[in-house]
Amino acid sequence: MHTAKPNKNLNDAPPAGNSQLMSNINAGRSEPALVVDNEIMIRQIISTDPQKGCEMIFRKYYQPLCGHVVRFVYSREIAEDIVSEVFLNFWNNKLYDNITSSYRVYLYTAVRNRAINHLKMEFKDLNRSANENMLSKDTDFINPETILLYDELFSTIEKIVNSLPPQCRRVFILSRFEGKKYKDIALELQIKLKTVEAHMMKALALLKKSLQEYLKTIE
Amino acid sequence: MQNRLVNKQMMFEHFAGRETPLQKVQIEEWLATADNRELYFEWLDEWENANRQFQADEKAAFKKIFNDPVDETSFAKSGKQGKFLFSRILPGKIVAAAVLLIFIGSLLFFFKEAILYKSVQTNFGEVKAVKLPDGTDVVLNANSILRYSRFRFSGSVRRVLLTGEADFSVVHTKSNSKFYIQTSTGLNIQVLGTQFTVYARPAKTSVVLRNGKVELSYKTGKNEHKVDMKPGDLFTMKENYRPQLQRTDAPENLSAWKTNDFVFDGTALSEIGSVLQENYNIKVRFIQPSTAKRKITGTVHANNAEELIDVISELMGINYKIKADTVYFIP
Repeated sequence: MHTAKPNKNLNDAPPAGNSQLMSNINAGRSEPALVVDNEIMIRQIISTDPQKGCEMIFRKYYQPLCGHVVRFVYSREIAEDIVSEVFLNFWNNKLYDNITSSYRVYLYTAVRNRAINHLKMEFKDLNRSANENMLSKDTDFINPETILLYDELFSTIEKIVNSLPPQCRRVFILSRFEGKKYKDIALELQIKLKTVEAHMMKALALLKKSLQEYLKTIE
Repeated sequence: MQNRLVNKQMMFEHFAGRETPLQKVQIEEWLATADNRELYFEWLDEWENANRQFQADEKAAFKKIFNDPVDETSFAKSGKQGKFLFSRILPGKIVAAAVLLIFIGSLLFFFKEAILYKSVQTNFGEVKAVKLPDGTDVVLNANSILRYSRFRFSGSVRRVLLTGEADFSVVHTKSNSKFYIQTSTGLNIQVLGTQFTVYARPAKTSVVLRNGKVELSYKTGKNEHKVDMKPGDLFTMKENYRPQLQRTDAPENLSAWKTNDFVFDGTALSEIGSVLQENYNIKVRFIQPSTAKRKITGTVHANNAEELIDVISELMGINYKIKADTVYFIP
């Protein structure tokens, strides 16, 4: 394993709530950034031509990031939205100047946080007075225990979807993953619209039940 | 404790959900150092590349993120330029390169004359009225910049530069001097004395004329086009689509924002998302994508973003949650 020597900031778990991925923007970057092997070239290019560098980062990570996010939100459209927004933020706010981890760590962390936020919004029973502090920021550090919890979460989602009865699973994937309308699914599978709705209700109820348990333990 | 047992093979099993409880404990300990966390994401990235779920639309996303010309100029100093998730469908085509060409030209122009121009700028959520040296009234909508020549404004040529959205009531001068508006999106407007609204944002450029007469000019490739507008005309230009000249019964609807009114006429919620983004810097997320396609008709008075969101949610019977700079519509 070849990585550059990490700077002091990155060793060991920081106090909770501390953003370790970004140095203090006002203070400027006082220590060298962690450069991982296959980002060395990108780092060099970013210093002279930020747009070209960011485009390279985009081309390198966009697809796998979308693939990763879709494991949580199970919708192509939402996954692409989340990843696009993270890149837009990254580019528009020149975040590449201030990231002390690898770009890879920043991007995966940011999209994970947003994916979980989305799931919280969708499946957790939030009432009006529940505050927005329950949602994470892009740069919120994820500790080892939570990393594993997230991993378990997407594994569980996959297990649940795979355990659905065949027709139910087909309907769920067409609707949720592909984004197809119920009436189109009914037509495609040659079943009644009411049947499609019943399948979806069943699948979503199953998912909601499991996810709520996880989402409770994640803050 | 240095954990030598965790390797790529084990992590790949872990990502696939096949690790043993003991391995889980080992992995958690292993993740305690930053070096290992870097490794974790390196392997995760490799695993994701090896197990593609679907082919994401890279081209479209790339375009939205990097081909936003306004990002690259001195224009972009005020506020963030938003993302445009939804676009209205119009027929026809404009060569994309033309917009870029004109934009680069404008960029050089602005840097050279930066000192000679006075700038008026609005923040997100702000509407500002400006009176130019010749008596022309301009109302600048949120997230916009208006520049005009400090010294030579009342001479034979009156020229302003606009990014964003503004409503103009141009006075007719005794010397019949022409009033020029140059927009950041490549559309130029020439007027004698008249009232109209200009919308020049990255996703779309439009001009609607209330009174008087204006002449528009723009380029596609090497060709220069001119369009004459009369009252009630609405001209719209979007990248990749042919410019359109339409008639509207109520041109004043497009400047309703001057009095904090919003007029919707079969407008999709996704468009309102654009309004929130452009004028208030609030991102919109629809938990169910189909909600974005729902349409709304009516006039809404709202003094700020929260009021607008509130009214819309009541009218459409949907809930919402606001977190920092994002509003989530649920369902």
